[in-house]
Amino acid sequence: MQPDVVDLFLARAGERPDAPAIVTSAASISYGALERRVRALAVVFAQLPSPKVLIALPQSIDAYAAMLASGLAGGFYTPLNMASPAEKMRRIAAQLEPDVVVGAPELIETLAIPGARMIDPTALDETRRLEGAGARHDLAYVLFTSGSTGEPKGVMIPRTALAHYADWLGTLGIGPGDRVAQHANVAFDLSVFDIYGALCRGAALHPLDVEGDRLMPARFIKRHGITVWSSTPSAVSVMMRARQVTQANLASIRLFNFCGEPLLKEHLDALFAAVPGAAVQNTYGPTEATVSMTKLGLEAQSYADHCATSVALGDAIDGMEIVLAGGPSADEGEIVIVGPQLARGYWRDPQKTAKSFRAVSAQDPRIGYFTGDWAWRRGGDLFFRERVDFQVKVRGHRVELDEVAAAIRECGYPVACVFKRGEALAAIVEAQDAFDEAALRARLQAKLELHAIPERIVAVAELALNENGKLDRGRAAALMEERITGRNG
Amino acid sequence: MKRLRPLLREAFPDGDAAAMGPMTTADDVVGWDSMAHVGLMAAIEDAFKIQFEPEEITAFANLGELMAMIARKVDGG
Repeated sequence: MQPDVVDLFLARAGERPDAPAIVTSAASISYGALERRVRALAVVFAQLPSPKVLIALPQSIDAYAAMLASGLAGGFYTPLNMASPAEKMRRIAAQLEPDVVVGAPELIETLAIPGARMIDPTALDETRRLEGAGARHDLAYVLFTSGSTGEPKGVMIPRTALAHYADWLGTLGIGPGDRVAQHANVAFDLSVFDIYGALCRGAALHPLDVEGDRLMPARFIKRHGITVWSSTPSAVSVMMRARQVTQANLASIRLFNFCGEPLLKEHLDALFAAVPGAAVQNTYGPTEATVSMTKLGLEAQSYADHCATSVALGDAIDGMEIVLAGGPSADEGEIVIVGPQLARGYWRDPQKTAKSFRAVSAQDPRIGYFTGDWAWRRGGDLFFRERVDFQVKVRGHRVELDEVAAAIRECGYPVACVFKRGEALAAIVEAQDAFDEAALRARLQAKLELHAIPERIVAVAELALNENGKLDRGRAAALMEERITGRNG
Repeated sequence: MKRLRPLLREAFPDGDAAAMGPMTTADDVVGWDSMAHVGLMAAIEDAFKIQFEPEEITAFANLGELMAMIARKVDGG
């Protein structure tokens, strides 16, 4: 059994109380002072049995302190994305029915949660603290992700699953003296890599809490001498757009970790050209398997061997397993995940839980999480192909939208979204210069069957990212529709 | 505005750079999202030989304020 993240943090705080734990734009705090803050919050949380703690704070010291404090107090936490619309926050709060809400008093009013105890951490009494090892709930956090119906789904992550993941984080060599950036929003589980990767190992956590830093992250890296960087690959696209993927900016980094969306060869080309000595790893995993559960280490000399339409996902980490189900062979199918990092299911939704968490197959009764991601093995590497639900039929032919997008990328448009539109396909691409739709369609004839060539392809200068830093397909679809039917660019 | 206009045209190929003025905000311009914003700010830094502080990258409400900030930095540097 792996140690709990709260116990790991307390051990590090005991060893090096003066080491920096969190450095924000507004303040910094040592391990010892953070421990006092955690214990002071925990004594308030622990007044209720098994408290459900809703964290309504930006990436501040108290947000991280509240995560650890909920664990120490025998409860669990749900972080809110403070940049999301108030309506979405209210829906999450209504589903969770928290016992405790930590946040600014004015926001707590907006959320309108009947019966919850409101805690304004700026008014916290640090003299009263929960001493000792505290108690533990069986859940660590419940993280709400977008459901396909629009109603957020709460993914319940057990403490044992988080401990398993944190144990893997411990194999990455992070330790005192490391400066770990915290780029992902705390409501997006990629942040779990940074938070526990740093605070369980004695490293300093550096949140990007100023919008300007999020827009120019390479400069943030340089200013703080960041040594470990984890984000979606889109953050590299942002750095590339700012022309800041340079040796001067990124020299301090020894480990880049990517997760959350397909990593592309273009990203690796840029990174390895700037910092050929850095270690880069690609990881894959849904929130339902606790952040990530594969790893592929990449090096300047050999990364190209692992690149197809996107970079390979790597092998399952120790203790976890991937089964490819429902495909034509054992080497192609839907990714089904088995192992101790699986979520307990969805918050108060046994129906959705039963649909996604079920026996791997008739022969394999183990419970697996069916991801909806289709993958195949080629030459020993596992590659993401598309979402199962991105498979469409066009005039009777099965078409993989991802395959069409990959063909468009090969024609020199690295950012492309493809949709079913009426009886045919349509696409939207990013293009900086004059865009020749007819020429692109002509080039695609060499790569795709006729029915798979989008009938319309429109271009915009930029496609928007969603709040998790992934390409926002919904907005891309709306923009595409606008271009096709109305305004003409 | 004269030196800024070609940079705006490049950053927002779908926007009407000729129609942009000091009162223009990001919401007025087709294609002014975070990625385009990054591209614009980097292009301004190159063209004017200045460097924005993290707080300055988003610290303007319209192009007039952006121009005033550029002028301050050019004079100051």
